[in-house]
Amino acid sequence: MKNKIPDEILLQVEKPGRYTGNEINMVIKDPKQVDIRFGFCFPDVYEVGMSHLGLQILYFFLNRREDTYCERFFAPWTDMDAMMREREIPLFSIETQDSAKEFDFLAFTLQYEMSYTNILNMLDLGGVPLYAKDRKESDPLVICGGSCAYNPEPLADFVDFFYLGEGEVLYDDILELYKQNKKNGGTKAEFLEKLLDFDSIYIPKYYDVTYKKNGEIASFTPNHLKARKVLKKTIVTDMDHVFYPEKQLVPLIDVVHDRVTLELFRGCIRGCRFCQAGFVYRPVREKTAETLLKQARNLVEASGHEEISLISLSTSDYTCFPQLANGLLDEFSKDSINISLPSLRIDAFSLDLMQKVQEVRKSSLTFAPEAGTQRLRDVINKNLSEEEILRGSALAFEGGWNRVKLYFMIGLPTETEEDLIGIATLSEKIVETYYKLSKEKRPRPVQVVASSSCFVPKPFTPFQWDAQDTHMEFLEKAKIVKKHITKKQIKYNYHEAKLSSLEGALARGDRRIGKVLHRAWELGCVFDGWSDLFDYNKWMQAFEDTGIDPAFYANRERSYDEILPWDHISVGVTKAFLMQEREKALKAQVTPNCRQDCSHCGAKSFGGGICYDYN
Amino acid sequence: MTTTEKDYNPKAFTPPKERFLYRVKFTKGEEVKFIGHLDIMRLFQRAIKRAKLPVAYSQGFNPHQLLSFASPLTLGTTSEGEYGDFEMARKINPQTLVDSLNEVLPRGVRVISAVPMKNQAEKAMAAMAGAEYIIYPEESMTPNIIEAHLDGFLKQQEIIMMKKTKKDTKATDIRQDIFDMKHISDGKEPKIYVFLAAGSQRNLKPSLVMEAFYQYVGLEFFPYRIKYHRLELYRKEGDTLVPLSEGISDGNGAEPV
Ligand code: SF4
Repeated sequence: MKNKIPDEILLQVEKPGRYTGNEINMVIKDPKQVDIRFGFCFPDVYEVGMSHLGLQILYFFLNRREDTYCERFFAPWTDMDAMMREREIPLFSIETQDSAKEFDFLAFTLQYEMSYTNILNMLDLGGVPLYAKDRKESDPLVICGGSCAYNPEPLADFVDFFYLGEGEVLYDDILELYKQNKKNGGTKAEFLEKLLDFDSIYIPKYYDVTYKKNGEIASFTPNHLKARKVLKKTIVTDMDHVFYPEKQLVPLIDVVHDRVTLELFRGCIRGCRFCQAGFVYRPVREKTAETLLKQARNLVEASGHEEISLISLSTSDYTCFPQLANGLLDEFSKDSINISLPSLRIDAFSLDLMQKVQEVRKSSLTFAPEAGTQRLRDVINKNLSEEEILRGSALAFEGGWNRVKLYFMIGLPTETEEDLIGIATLSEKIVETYYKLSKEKRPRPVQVVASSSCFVPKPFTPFQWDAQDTHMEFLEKAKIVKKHITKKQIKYNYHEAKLSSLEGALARGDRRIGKVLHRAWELGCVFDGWSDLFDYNKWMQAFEDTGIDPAFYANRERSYDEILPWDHISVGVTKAFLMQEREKALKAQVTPNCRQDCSHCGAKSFGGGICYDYN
Repeated sequence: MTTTEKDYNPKAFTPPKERFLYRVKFTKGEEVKFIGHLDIMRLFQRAIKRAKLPVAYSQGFNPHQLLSFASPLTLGTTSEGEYGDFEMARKINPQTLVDSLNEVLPRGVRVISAVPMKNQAEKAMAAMAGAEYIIYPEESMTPNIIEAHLDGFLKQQEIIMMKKTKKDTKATDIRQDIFDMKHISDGKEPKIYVFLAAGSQRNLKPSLVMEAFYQYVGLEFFPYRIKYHRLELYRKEGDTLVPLSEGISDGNGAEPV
């Protein structure tokens, strides 16, 4: 095999291995022998995209079909982008280095809002018209899926259809339909019309939006007889029998997460009110420990990785966690394979486990109280008390730990100065807990790192109606926290507030935001999630040039009767439940988690998961 | 029940008294020529895992495989003479090592041979003294031009070039590090063979030789249009240079062909 991209170019860009593929387990097919060429597009750089579990799953899921060749596309880094434009090299796939235009589908995964301009840039590099309405019969169909697709509106004009939900469920049917349609000489428009039979496929062109004078949505109506009023996400209900790859693509260059990943379960029992993932992935569906151990065995064997990482939204909530953790340790530690355990609740069991898998001296404890006071933690339904944190820290300090990381959010609804000061107070109490140890038990000084991120209200959360703070307010608040942190053992970090402000405007955006995205991209915005490339001023200019006010989207409180841009999408959790949760939040009332009691959020309608563990 | 950290760590192992080292020679083809040195190391670590070879590990909390590699290759250069010394926990058949790695390595990386090493043999990286390359210049450097200028180029007493070191750039005479240089074009395709000093003491990259040669000839130098291919790495044995995998065998396996 020889690279189609000239060496002369690859020799001049940073990390050329990003573009040359040839990974272990890369699928090779003859594109001429398949009916469907499917481009899985990750709108970020190779090292980020290759760390994404969804890519690994869908890649092998689609490639198990003989009639389909799924290839990968990533956003070329800016140096490569410039070279490609200079020499008119179109966006190319990793597998065959064929041009994006030759594909039947370009399917983008939306993991974070700040990757939206990269999608436009990739289409443009591929020579594919940006707007769905401008694309011809010979152009690929552009699909978007992934967690941000639950508010599809900001990208609605650029996308042919959105896939709502988990990929394993419908892609076989969609591809069969596409193949049939192509065989019968059907057009793309006819294919899209046939897709109206699916209630998890959203095709923006079949819906019209009108707006009120004040900017709110006046109506959102289907313009096709078969277009449904509400589209509902689709999910896997049996996690033990759903497809899971026996292999994993093993990159040849260093990527962000380079290891075997085990997905313990989807969804989360907790219902933290700020957390979009906690609602859009409901209900919790677990894999059995046996299934996971088998998958671990297969993947370790096929990859040669020396690290297994357990992923899910909250690892400790996995019902068979002790069984799984011990099983993995028994089986793999003799082969020098490390187990990494993110997001554990700190208790005796997890500390014991952590001591087995990592060197205590080198590791730190992590707590995510998210808010500084119990009142505010009740508002956000974060079920973690100060007592638990201090008890966990004390236990860990006894065990030899001396470093603690704390994660907080600022700008949460109902937040007062007291809550901000609470961040400092809690951090100090942890330091004090350390000094309660007898002197010989603390040979090293304690280090506490408290970080705060800026709260971004997201669709499908109880705070979807709330106003976000402006970036000026965020900074003011961070300063208050900083002022109250006086102990030298505590370090306080806060995040880029401007990025969060923009994220706030995009996350709850409607179709009109598409114009801003287009303009921002024209002005040169790409890789906005990379703080060194993020250019806030260009974005502000894009808003100004298009006559759109970012504050309307980010900093405005909505009333319950306003039509929200994503009201035509259902993730199972009902709007009524979200309203009820918001009302409880304002009164600082907590809601039990799914394992304690069912709160009838609506997700039972999927017919599976934890909701059926009650009878 | 109380358990000490030592009991927790099943990775701890006692190193064998006799060590089982194998000098592995491999290729780096077109498909992997943009994969860097560290990545090649990791690629072998994983291949060894997939091949279930009984590799030896270092001790400590995070044990790592005992592999060491010879000279890093410049990104973009292909090779049929790359070397690594792999330590196994027990004796294995060298051919098994070759075959089982070849079954799992990515396209472009092939193991050519594995030689069981005498325990006193010097590590590949330390032993290295020379490297052979074939260079494919771009078309402005025609076979006729090479033929006309190569002798004169080599007859120079010294060839002073700006050489990059870790910290700065220094004017250096590179002539003494060119052991040999021949014109080997077939037909219209220009080709040059070079044998250069390589190693921690003296090291010369073929690209710097080409830059000097382009300057000497008076042609514009296009650094990104020239291809390099490494043929072999050499070590010093007395007064001569021999390929890295020769003369190091413990006699328990065939010498490479
Ligand atoms: S229906 Fe009940 S159990 Fe199911 S996700 Fe909602 S709250 Fe949890």
